[in-house]
Amino acid sequence: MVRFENVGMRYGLGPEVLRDITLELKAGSFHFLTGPSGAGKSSLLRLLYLANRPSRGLLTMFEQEVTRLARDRLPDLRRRIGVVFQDFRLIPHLSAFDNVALPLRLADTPEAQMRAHVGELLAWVGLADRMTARPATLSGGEKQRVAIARAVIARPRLLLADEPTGNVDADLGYRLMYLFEELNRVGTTVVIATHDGRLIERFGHPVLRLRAGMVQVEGAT
Amino acid sequence: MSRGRSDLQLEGDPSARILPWVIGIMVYLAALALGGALSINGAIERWNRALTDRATIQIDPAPSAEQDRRLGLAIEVIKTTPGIARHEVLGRPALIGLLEPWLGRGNLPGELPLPILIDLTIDPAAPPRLDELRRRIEASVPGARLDDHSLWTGGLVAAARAIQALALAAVGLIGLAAVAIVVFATRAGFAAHLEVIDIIHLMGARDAYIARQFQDHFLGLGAKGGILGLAVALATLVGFVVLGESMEGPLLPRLALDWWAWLTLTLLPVLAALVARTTARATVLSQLRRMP
Ligand SMILES: Nc1ncnc2c1ncn2[C@@H]1O[C@H](COP(=O)(O)OP(=O)(O)O)[C@@H](O)[C@H]1O
Ligand SMILES: [Mg+2]
Repeated sequence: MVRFENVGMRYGLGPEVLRDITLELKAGSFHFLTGPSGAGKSSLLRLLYLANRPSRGLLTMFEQEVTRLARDRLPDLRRRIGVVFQDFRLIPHLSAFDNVALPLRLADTPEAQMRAHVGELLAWVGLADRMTARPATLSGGEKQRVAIARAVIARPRLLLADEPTGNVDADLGYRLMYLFEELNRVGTTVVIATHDGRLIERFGHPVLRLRAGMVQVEGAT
Repeated sequence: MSRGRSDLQLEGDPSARILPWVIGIMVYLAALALGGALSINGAIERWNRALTDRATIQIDPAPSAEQDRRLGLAIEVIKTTPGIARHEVLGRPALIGLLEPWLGRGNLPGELPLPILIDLTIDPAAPPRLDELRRRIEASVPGARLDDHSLWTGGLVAAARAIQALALAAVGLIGLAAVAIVVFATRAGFAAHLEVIDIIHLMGARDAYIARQFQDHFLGLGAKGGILGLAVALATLVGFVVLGESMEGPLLPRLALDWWAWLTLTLLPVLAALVARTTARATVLSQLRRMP
């Protein structure tokens, strides 16, 4: 599904924030990505959701080597990836419904099918009565559920989350993890960046540990 | 499904309020310049018409008998040329009459050699080929020349064409300024919405999808401003036309526009809208190419 070979990454002309990353994520796997603050967790996720390309090495995703892939081929790959951003990044002027509908609209899903789908998913995450609300009027937990619904609505094959439990209380964080595990059981490959050791302990998935831009794999993959 | 959608909500941007006015002013100025340039076409035509219904044959001075023979030959040519309504020979007495105001009565020596002038009035319904007439006159009459005033009209027409070129250059410059304004407005809009653009870009939106929202927005603003500017410009031009019709003098550069000139002017808002759309699209695409 994903293979890093000696991948390095830098922002602009700055120093390398990731160095010699070599690892493989098998289809259907579930990994935690951890390390101290500034270790490069968010940067590695940015490579995975194609917000940045490696500055060296090879990164293969969905059988495509993305460092050399033509720029206009990337949107198709991005549509197979769902991301829960650290700060949710909901679009402020769109309702909860329209935020969740966005990935389907980008994929030109027929309107009726899209409406049914979004309504169903929002009901499933307990937001049936909040569909027309703007993000500003949602609570932290509601925002997070909208962000998750938006990440999974188009049935991504790779699901990424950056510190998903960071902004919400522990109880909500665990419920979220159960949701990710459920999606993982139906075949979605999951990577969750977190520096929350208790979360990692509790769920016991293999860990990718970043330290000073290098990665170390712990536990069976 | 994505057609006409606006995830970015550009409608509330400052560009929506300011740009129609800027484009409106530019279309107004362009319409005046273009209207002027097009009306000069009509003026040039009128000058040509006013001056080409007259021509003059001049026969160089010669001894009296020879001059009479040449005049006979010239009249023969004139009579066998279709399209000449009238001719009038200005002989020695008539020419002396013409020169007296300059030289004073009785100051002309009796033996001063004078040319013969034949004033031709051309039938405007079936004008003769003047170059043909010139060739025949010069071939069959020694010392004869045909003057169709083209030298004089030529200068006038050249001046008018230069003014026309200037007006069209002004229209071009206004177009360039409009492009520059739209580039800046688009960049400002892009920067203001960068956060949302980045999110939908990461969700797999194609560049064309994002660009479409900007180009639709700017197409509308361009059309709005263009129609506004054209409306005021048409009112101004109609005012000039009415003013021109109340003035005398065939050579005055009156403002008079053909129906197709008016039609050309109404294309300006369309052009403004298309320029705004194309510029916005190109600007957004070039900004997006900086993203991976
Ligand atoms: N947009 C950026 N531009 C430049 N440097 C950045 C940027 N984002 C992160 N960094 C740097 O990259 C390093 C890794 O950051 P990050 O990936 O955010 O780590 P983590 O998520 O593990 O805290 C840090 O030194 C950080 O300062
Ligand atoms: Mg981070």
